[in-house]
Amino acid sequence: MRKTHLTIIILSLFILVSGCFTSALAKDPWQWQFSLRGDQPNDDKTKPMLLPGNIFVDQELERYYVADAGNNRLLSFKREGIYLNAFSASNKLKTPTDIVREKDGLMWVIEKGRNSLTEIDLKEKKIENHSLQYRGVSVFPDRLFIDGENTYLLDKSSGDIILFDRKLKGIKHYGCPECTSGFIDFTVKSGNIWALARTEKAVYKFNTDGPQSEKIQLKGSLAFPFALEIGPAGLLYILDRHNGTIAVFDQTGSFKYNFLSKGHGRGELYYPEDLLFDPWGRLCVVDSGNGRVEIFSR
Amino acid sequence: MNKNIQLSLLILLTCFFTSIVSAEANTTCFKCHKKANFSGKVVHSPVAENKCSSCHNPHVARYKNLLSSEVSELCYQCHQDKIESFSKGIVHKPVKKGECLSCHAPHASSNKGLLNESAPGENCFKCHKTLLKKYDYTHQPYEKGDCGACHRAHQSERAQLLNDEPDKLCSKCHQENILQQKHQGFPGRLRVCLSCHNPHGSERKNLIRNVLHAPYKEGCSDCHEKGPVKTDKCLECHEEIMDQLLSAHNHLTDKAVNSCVKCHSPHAADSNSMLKNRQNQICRSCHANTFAGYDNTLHSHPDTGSCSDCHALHGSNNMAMLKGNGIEVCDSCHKTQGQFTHPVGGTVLDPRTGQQVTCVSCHYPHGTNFKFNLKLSGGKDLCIQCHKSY
Repeated sequence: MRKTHLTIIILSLFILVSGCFTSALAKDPWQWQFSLRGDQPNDDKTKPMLLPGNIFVDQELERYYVADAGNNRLLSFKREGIYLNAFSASNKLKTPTDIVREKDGLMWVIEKGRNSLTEIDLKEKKIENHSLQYRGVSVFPDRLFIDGENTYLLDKSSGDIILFDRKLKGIKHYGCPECTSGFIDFTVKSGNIWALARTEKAVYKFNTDGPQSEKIQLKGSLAFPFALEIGPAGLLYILDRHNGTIAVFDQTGSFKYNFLSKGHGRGELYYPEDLLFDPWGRLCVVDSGNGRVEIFSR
Repeated sequence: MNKNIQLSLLILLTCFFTSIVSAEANTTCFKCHKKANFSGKVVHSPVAENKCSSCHNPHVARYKNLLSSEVSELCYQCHQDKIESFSKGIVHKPVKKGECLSCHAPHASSNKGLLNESAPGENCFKCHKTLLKKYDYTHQPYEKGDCGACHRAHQSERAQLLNDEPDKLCSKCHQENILQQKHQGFPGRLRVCLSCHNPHGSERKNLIRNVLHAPYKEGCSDCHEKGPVKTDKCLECHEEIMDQLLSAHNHLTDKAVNSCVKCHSPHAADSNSMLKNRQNQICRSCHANTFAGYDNTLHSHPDTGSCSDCHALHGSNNMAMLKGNGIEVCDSCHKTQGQFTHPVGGTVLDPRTGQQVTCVSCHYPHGTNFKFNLKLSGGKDLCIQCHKSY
């Protein structure tokens, strides 16, 4: 009799412990580390970010740069998330939404308020606005990626990714003739352009050298795919703007898992804008509606 | 007792009691309820079979008219095959609400499908009151009240419950080669008929929509030079729109040679805004998911029918392309809440984000499953998001 009782107690304990263990495993694999915020404690001169657009990471300087569109400024942070500086080019910036900083300190900024790709030379203290055209039509720059001599721009009007040379002359474009809408985001990784088609809920992979593309249909429930990033293991991370989640797919388009949720608290997103893996394996989410950038790591 | 005898007895008893119930309906119910009111060209089969009790409880019930359940539940008891199909795609509002009786008669009718109204189309016009019944030039199927020629009554995969793609619907009656002859000079194959024609009717011949775009009145060459007309061309005249497009969030719709024509007709339309359709229908065509959320929540914002009441449709520097911040937009209608409410705006900051507290900090304007469109229960859950010590 006693033996039976003991067996039952041991069995119950085992079930209880294994239950706790599996529920711990079922938690989000991504854990919140810190937020990049415009307002700093005990510093009245700082103010919250308003509609941050995109984030750029300078690996050498170990800095984050954020385009704070609503406040017409660019913000810089240390790798640890410590606020460094705000830059507004003497209040000349107008709705900056994306930024790339090159090794020589040259900054390229998309200023939507001017429809310009703006060149900022910090050493020379010079700012030059560039209104771009491609095949005789105005380009409306939306997202920017610079890879050496190549400048890739997503044109909001056509939904195509346009490749420009250093003199900002349009070379060629990557589009999706079969799509009812064009691309909404893209990234360049290992010689490939990965582009997200919102309406089709698909990712198109182009080789930068050729026109051929591969379509990856995302098989899973996505409300409003808005941005994509390729993870270190080659998984596709899709930012679902309206659901406030990030959905992860493999390269066949099969759904793996999703994480985060819609809201205003920690680990919650409200009208998020962009995704980026930093060189240190952390996932940066530009949480536009909450005026912050959330940094997660595994 | 022999099994066969037992079975025969059971069948006999079943028949006996069934006949009693039927006879009961025949005699008892119709003692008071005139049978003539339950007869017609088409009689609902439970009525024909005198099975009044399949829907009604003769003694007492929780539902009006002594119904034993909600109307739609009663209908789906028999019409089970419809449950799945009537929940797919875009569902007609009365179907979604389970209001089967807004179109169908439960007992008998002189019309096929037990439809309420005898005149074709009348069922539709009962709710769609803004539609004119007759135009100077009325499309033939519309004039006949044959709404079903283009629309489905219960649900559809397409906006406006269309049976098929609009162009395909037109070509069912209108032969393409004849149309092509009538549209000489049209670049390429004829398509997007609704861009110029109103499928119901118009004040103009050939159902051309009532309002003509000024350059179209003058001729084609104002816009059409070489190749397709691009966005830049529209902005040459509509300069004021450019200011709105130069925003953090703009509606330059991707993948369009001309972004403007995704929503606007360049030739003819029903209103001065030259929109291709009713505003919320245009928005729905891309933002179906937003509308699904709007339709499927327990507490949703009253339908104003116009997204532009809150959203700047070309672009804005506010979240979700709102016309102002999360206070200004709500305050434009909810004046009282703008004055007397939980402190908002100014230096009142949301401890979760450091952003200004606005109406949308607590409410989700389209709709939620909580009263007053709150994001969480107003009982406690919502407040303790910020007021941790409570």
